[in-house]
Amino acid sequence: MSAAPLKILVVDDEPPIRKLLRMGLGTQGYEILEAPNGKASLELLARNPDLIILDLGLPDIQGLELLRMIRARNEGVPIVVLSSRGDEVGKVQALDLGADDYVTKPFGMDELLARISRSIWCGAS
Amino acid sequence: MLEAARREERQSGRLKIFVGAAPGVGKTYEMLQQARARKQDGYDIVVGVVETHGRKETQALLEGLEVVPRRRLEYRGQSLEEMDLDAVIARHPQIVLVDELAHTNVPGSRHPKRYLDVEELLRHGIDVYTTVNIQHIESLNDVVAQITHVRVRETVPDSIFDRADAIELVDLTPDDLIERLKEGKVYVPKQAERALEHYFSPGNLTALRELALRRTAERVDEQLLTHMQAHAIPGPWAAGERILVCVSEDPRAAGLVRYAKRLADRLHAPFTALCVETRRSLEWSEVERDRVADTLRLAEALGGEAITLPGGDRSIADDVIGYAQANNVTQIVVGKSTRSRWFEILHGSVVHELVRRSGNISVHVIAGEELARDPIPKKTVRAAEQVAPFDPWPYAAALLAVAVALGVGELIEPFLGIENVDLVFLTAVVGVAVRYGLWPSLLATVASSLCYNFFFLPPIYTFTITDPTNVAAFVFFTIVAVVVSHFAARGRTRTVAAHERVRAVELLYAFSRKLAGVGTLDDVLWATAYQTALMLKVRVVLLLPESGSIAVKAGYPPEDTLDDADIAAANWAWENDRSAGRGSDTLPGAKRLFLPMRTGRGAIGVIGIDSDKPGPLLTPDQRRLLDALIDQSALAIERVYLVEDVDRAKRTIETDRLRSALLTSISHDLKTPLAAVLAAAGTLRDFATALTDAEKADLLATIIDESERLNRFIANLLDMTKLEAGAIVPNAAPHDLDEIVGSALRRASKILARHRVELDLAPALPMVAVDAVLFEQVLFNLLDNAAKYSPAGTTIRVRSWRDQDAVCLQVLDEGSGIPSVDLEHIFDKFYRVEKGDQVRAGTGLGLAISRGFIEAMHGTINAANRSDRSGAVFAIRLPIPPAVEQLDTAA
Repeated sequence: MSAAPLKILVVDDEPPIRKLLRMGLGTQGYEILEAPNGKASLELLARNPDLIILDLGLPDIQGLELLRMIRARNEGVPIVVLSSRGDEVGKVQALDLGADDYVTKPFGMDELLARISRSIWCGAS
Repeated sequence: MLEAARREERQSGRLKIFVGAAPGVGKTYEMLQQARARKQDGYDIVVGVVETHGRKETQALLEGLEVVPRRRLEYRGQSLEEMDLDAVIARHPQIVLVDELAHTNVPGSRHPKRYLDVEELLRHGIDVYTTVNIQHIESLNDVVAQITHVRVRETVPDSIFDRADAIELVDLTPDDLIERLKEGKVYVPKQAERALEHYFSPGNLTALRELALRRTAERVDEQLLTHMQAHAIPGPWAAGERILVCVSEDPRAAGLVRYAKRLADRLHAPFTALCVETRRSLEWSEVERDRVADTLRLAEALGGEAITLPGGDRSIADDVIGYAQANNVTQIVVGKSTRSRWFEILHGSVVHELVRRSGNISVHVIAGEELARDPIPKKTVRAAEQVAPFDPWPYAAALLAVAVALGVGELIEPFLGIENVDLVFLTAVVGVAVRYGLWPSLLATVASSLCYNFFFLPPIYTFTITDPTNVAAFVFFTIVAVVVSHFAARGRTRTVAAHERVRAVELLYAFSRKLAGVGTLDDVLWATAYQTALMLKVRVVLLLPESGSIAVKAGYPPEDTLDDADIAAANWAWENDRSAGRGSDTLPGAKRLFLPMRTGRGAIGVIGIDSDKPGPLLTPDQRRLLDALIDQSALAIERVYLVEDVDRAKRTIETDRLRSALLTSISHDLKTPLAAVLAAAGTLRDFATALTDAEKADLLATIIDESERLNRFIANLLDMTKLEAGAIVPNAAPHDLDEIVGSALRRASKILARHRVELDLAPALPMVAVDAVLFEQVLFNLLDNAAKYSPAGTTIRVRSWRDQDAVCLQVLDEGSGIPSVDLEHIFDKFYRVEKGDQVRAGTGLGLAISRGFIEAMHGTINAANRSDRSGAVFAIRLPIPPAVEQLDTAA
């Protein structure tokens, strides 16, 4: 483990959700990068985040399409989808396209943190 | 595993043939598509030989399929390519594609014909997919040559067709195929272009297509029979017969039609009743014409097809045989002639000619006795007798013409002699015959003979004739005059009849064109009522089924109503599918005559007609015209029903799609604030020690803000539901607009905290009739919207003024405005304009609800972009109620 804090890219168009994630993840010592839309998230990929939290309901790029684009640019980064869509088809599609985990809104902060750390350590090993 | 085991069991490969009616229907394309699908399923497929003819679409399908390289052969100095049979066998795929089964191999190949190659492949246990056009099948070669006048030399024996395990018909309508040909999508060798032009005529293609369909159906029949025998299933099943029955004005024709129907039932074949109209048809009596129409109708009622062909200059037999050949008729039913031997010697016998020239079509000649027990259906509606009142004018005119001829004769006799005087009289007789018909012209003949004798033949001024040559001249004159007047009169009858028929056909044509152009049921019904009333000079009502009974849907004149007797007759006609009411056998006491309107699928409604004239309603001619009109409009009504069915199905799909989109949207809108609330509360609970006080306060504020947002969304959702259920009833009362604006601003003060608000309200506006609660909600929504879509620190203006009989109110913001693509959808449910990242998402309901409320209060609302600067403007317009107006002006 390096001394530098792990970077998590939060992609969500809802400012309150971003703020909450920033606070919640901040308590665990993560460094947070925020993207309010798909375009910004693709630009922030250049800063090599260690994990991406991805909302699928973005205004500019369709969620699953964005997932595919991120995967095309970075094969290894763990992606945790955070979406209000809870049906099985949606989850399977996202996992098929390369998401590592899928958390539905509304979510518990504890659960999300547990899944984030698990995804990071699985991706690193 | 299982498939492999099955393959072991089977020594011989399976053969699948893709059959087409003509080149260009897409056999190769279809074969390749199926091959690709099979390959996806994991089958080992190779291409033995496929002719793409340079077509890109076909070429593209070949992509990804393994192609066994073709073998090169030298023949007469030319290098030719053939399928490499040995290479394919050595490769031993599960399935091999071999295009064009009928192909002849280059001399020097192992087999002279490609189908022999295929048989060898099958023997090696390789499945083969192949293609063939119907004209290459040996047993059909003659038929195809007859149809197309092109004899195909490359044939395949029926045995290979019959041994196929699967046959797939690749079907394309003639019109589509010709279209493809025109677009250059069909491969045509250069040297064959001219020949093919004839080959690809719609008639040929229809016949070939039918041939292909029948051959395939027969093949399926055989398989079915084998299967039925193996499983002991009893019949009946269809075969490829087609029956034609010749119908004339003969009273036994109905019996013939029934005979044909029985024959058709036995053979499980379709049948067609054919009436060839000749010149003689023009002279049919009313009874005969009715009988032919009834017989054709009978054929349709029995499930057959009814066709009337205008006869050409050829004989009737020619027309019948021509039709039969063009339509692949296999059996012709015709009645035995009752004409005398003399008549047949003079005019020829249709039956004899048919039998002699029918070729391979069977002809059934049915004797009259067999048909005696099949009386023609009795007509149940009496038609008016056509008794023309006596008109003396033609006879007076005939005498006048003779008098003029006499005068002219007296004038020219001194110069030209009496030999030419009889020609003058003859001219008068012919003229009368052409103009007034037979009887006046006969009168003219008698009068002319008498005048000629009295005034010109010596001794003149007596009715005696002395000179024997003059006796002969007088006799011949009389004979010629009688004969000429007879023929002239007959010609006139024909012309008149032909004119009447042309007129009727024109009327019908115009009517059908009119019906074709209209789209809705109301239009069709109105056009039918109006046209029928206009053409037949009657009053018309149309009744269609409605909740178990029938009800009047249209009428001309439109204000007509039915009395009880009429309604009873209409219901009887509907329930029994027979005519009823005035002039019929059932309920004749009704004021109107009701006739069922039918299509092939059954009765669809009832038409009632009535006339102000006493006596029978319609002449036979009018009755026939009415029948044709009814048939046409019944079809048009059915068409509208079918279109409605299709539309309904489409709407259902659309509604389902919308509903699921709606659900997704609602669940997102509900869950997002909830997620924020839960996450914030969870963070507060679990990480309280790690958070600063400021952060804790921030989280609490988030919880409150998001809860309020959730509350607003739920309130909106409820409002929307109420609006859609029609449960919003505005409690409208006169209100001062300024007051409501004030209270909306107070309520929105928190949302507007970061904007400046500028009010520009016209003084002393009249009161408006609105529901204060609903209107305040609308204003709140507009202000909320303005705050959301314009940056902090900008100004939001609210303006009001009077415009004629309305009060207008605008909310203007200084944001980036509304993209033009969104303008027309902005009031739609769940529609959201794409926004910058700093703006929180709206519910997509605010504007939809606002419009619903405003419209419930009889106002209008619309959205536009500001013309003076960037920004959106929402404008509400409320009418000033008349009572308020008076109050206002009084004050």
